[in-house]
Amino acid sequence: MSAITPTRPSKAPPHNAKRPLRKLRSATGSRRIFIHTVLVGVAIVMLYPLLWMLSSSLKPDTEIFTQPGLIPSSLRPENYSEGWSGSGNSFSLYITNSLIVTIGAVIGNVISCSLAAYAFARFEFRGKKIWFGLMLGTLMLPTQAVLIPQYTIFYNLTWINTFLPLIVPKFLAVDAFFIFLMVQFIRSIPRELDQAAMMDGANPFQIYWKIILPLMKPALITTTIFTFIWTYDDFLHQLVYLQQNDKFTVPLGLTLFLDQTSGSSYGAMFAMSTLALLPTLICFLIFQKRLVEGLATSGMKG
Amino acid sequence: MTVAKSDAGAGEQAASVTPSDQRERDRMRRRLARRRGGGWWPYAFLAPWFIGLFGLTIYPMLDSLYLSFTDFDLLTPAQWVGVDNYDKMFTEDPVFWDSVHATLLYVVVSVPLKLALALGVAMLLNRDLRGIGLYRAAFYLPSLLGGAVAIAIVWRQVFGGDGLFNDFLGWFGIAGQDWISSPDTAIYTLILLAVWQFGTPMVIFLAGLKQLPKDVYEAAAIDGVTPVTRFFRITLPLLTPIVFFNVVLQIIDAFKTFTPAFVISNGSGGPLNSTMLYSLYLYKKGFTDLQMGYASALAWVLFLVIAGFTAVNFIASRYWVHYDD
Amino acid sequence: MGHQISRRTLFRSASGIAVAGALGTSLSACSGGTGAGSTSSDLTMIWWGSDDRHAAYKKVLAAFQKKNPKIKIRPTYSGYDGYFDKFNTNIAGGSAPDLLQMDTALVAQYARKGVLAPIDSYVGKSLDLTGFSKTLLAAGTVDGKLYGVPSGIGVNQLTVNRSGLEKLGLELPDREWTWADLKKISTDVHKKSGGKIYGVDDGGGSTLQCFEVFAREKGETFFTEDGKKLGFTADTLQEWWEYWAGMRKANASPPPAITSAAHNDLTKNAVVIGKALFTFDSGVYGAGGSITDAQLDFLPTPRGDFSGAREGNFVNGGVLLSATKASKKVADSVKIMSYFAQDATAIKDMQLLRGIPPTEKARELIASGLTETDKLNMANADYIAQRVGKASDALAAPAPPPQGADQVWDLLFQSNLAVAFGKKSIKAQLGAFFDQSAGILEG
Repeated sequence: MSAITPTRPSKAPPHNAKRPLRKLRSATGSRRIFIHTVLVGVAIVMLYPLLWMLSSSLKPDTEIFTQPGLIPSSLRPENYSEGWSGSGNSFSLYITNSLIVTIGAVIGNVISCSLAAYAFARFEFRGKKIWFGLMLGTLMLPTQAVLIPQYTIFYNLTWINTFLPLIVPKFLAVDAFFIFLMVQFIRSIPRELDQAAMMDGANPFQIYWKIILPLMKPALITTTIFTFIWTYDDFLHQLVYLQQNDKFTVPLGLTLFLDQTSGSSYGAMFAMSTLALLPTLICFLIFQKRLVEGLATSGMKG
Repeated sequence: MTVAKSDAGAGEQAASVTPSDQRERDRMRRRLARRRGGGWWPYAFLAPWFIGLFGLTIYPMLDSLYLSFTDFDLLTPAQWVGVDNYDKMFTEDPVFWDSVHATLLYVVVSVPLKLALALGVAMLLNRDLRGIGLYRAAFYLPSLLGGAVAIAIVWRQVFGGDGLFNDFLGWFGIAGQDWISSPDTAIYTLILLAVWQFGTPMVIFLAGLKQLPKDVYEAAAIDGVTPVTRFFRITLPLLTPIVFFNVVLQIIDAFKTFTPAFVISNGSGGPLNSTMLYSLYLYKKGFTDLQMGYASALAWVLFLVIAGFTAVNFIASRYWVHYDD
Repeated sequence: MGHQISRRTLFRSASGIAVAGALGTSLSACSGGTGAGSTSSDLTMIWWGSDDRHAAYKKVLAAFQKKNPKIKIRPTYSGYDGYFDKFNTNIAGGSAPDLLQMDTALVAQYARKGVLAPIDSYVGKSLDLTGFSKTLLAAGTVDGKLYGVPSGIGVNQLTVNRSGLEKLGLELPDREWTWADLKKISTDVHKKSGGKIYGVDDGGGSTLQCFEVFAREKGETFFTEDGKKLGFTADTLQEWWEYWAGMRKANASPPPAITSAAHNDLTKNAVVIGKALFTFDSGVYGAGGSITDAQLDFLPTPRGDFSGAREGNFVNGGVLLSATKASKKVADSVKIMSYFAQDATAIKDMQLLRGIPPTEKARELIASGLTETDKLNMANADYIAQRVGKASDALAAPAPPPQGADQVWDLLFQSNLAVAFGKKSIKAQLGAFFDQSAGILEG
């Protein structure tokens, strides 16, 4: 491995090098404060809608749209209890169902997409370019156009009103997005590592398992985060495949509060929307930590 | 590890590889090429994907291609009409052109902005700072919300006539307007929503940054390279595979954007079709107006356009994307 | 779109072979009418609504099952969002539910496509429709056959922020008011509020509570009986748009940005956000709930103030209960419809959750338990129903709208908006509107 030996040392800012150590430290300190200030400022803008949602979830329905400010003039925490108990099914059922679907999808995507990506990134085989193009092509047709034909397939398999149409395809690597993502990551892992392992007599699966997978951890974590969130938020497929209310997931459960023809419970909807964010937020917080560790701990040694 | 294509590293690399290393490496390459070329290994790895492709993906795609040549209302059998749908689209459907216009504007403006912001914030967040996890979560939160109804309601509050955005403009003495419901500005509120939800490419950039080899930076730090040089000479070249991925996928995604347009305009694409993004129009045709044949034709035209853009992207990538293998 | 379909294709489609036919594969093995994933002994039923409606439906169904233990009902409920997408997908895939809540705006389209079962043969036997007026049943009648039982009466009315009017020292107009009265009071609202509030939301592009009534006052319908053409003249529409252009000019109605924002979005309705005191959107007050804390009241759509003006108001049907043609349990479904229509406890449990109840008897049953605003709502509906019933010059109640109707309505809205934004002149927009509508209705 050759490292970069950067061009000319003279390019370094001279005043920086001459600075005494103490001054340097305080400089980075103020720089740190500056970064924090910028980050906090932008974060507030980013978070405003969430705060609005949170505040709306605590307002009576008559106030949400007539007084859209952030501070409620009267609190109505009942939105939460009413939304949670719902009409018949507790909202906990929808969250449980969502978690089943979501976790199944995550496992499926991580396994199947990494296998396919490894093949595309590291092997030459007949028609590879065509297969790769086909794989990308599956990304390009809008979902709405294939919904009906897909529905008939699952209908014939008698999988309607089960979680299977939402989980099984993930084990068959239908999310080309993640294959492509992982291909790009694998391609930035130096081949020398494969070669060294091969010299030690490892077969391709062992290379995949022992070298590629650990090294592409950031990509796997990314896949986990996205699959989790996208599956959790996916309305259209869950709407079509889950028929009965006891199979409903969070996005479907949320529609139960809104009906422009017979009156809506906006407060309860906002309350449950806020609560429903927690699983995805927790998932993100847990896994983004792994992103920090990334290569720093797993290192280049494999 | 090499950064062969970056100016800084090219000369050094040649110098650091001895002739015997080179021979050994060539031998290895040949052996590897044999392994790479043949055997059943790649097919074994691809087996699940093949099953999914042939079992679940190809058939619905071909079926929608077939339907694009039919009149199909979902409720009664499809009837073959030849190229009528395609003909109608280009010759007598003004809304089709409205949607093309809206979509192109959306793609051209939102993709570069979103990617630049995502990369910028990813660089900012790629450090060991106290509470960095919370910052990341804050920046990712808008993307967590996705296309929820709640987000649409919030957006309409912020950019409505007496919304927060106009209050903000008011501080500077600028008179606002209702940005969401004016046909001249509505699409920009949608673009802003897309840019604001930059979490996906940001996380991918972050993951890419994390995968960059540390030793390169350590060497650079010792030699006192300025941050700007470091970014353009080291980070960006190393990151090009990931940049490329984001560019390709964001373009595809932007062309296919559905949910934000749907929830913000309540499915109408209004005002005056100014936010009638292509996929929304397709959905309206297929599921609201029950013209699934026409909708399928729309889908395949979009498919061809996206495929064209992607092909150009791949060809262009030869000139600026650097792989390590 | 909307090609003619033969009786044979109608029949085939209903058994869910639509897609199979299209694909050349055979789904006939599973072309039953029962809901997907359910055992064949269950009767599947779907509806949309809000939480309160779901609870009421379930309560009534539970009571029904106690009396009819042999019929096993498997209900599925959701919001309106996606309801018909799912229904369409189910039909295309061959898994239609047995019984469903149907939208009066869509019943004709589904009936003509052969998706719904005609239920005339059950009327007077297992389907008791005592007390349902003929105009009311028209809401579920397509080409002379009954395809759905209306849940309640729907009327064309304006919702009024009465407390807002009182604050400005204005009086609630009389129920016999005219379009000129509407303009006058709306202008007054703007003046007395110091220009802060407009009078009434822009009705130039809204159909149901509004333009359709105006056209009927002129003796014209919105669609022709067979649904293939528009039933009104360009002169009528021109006069209508000019009226609203005048309203906007007089600040009696808000500028187009507010109208546009409120399109399909109750939460941005001019009355809800406090920008107007009268609205044509009946959703502002739904089933005992409101998203504004103002004291509301209700008025019929104004009368025509030109010579020869007819009664333009009419009575509509709330939502419908319909059975699917593919279902093997139509007889059981009809029993459920009848139960909802006539059973006293069912009516009491439902309250106003599916609209104002359809029969006098039912209205009396629930009257005592209503809120003050509910009572005002029902009083106004009663008033309109009686006035329409007595009127000798009223046209027959409109037939259910044809396929493409929602596109035409949307076009009307967009056209009025284009005029209001100043993008098109009324004359130019008239031509475009009639051309495009013809294209939509011909298919």
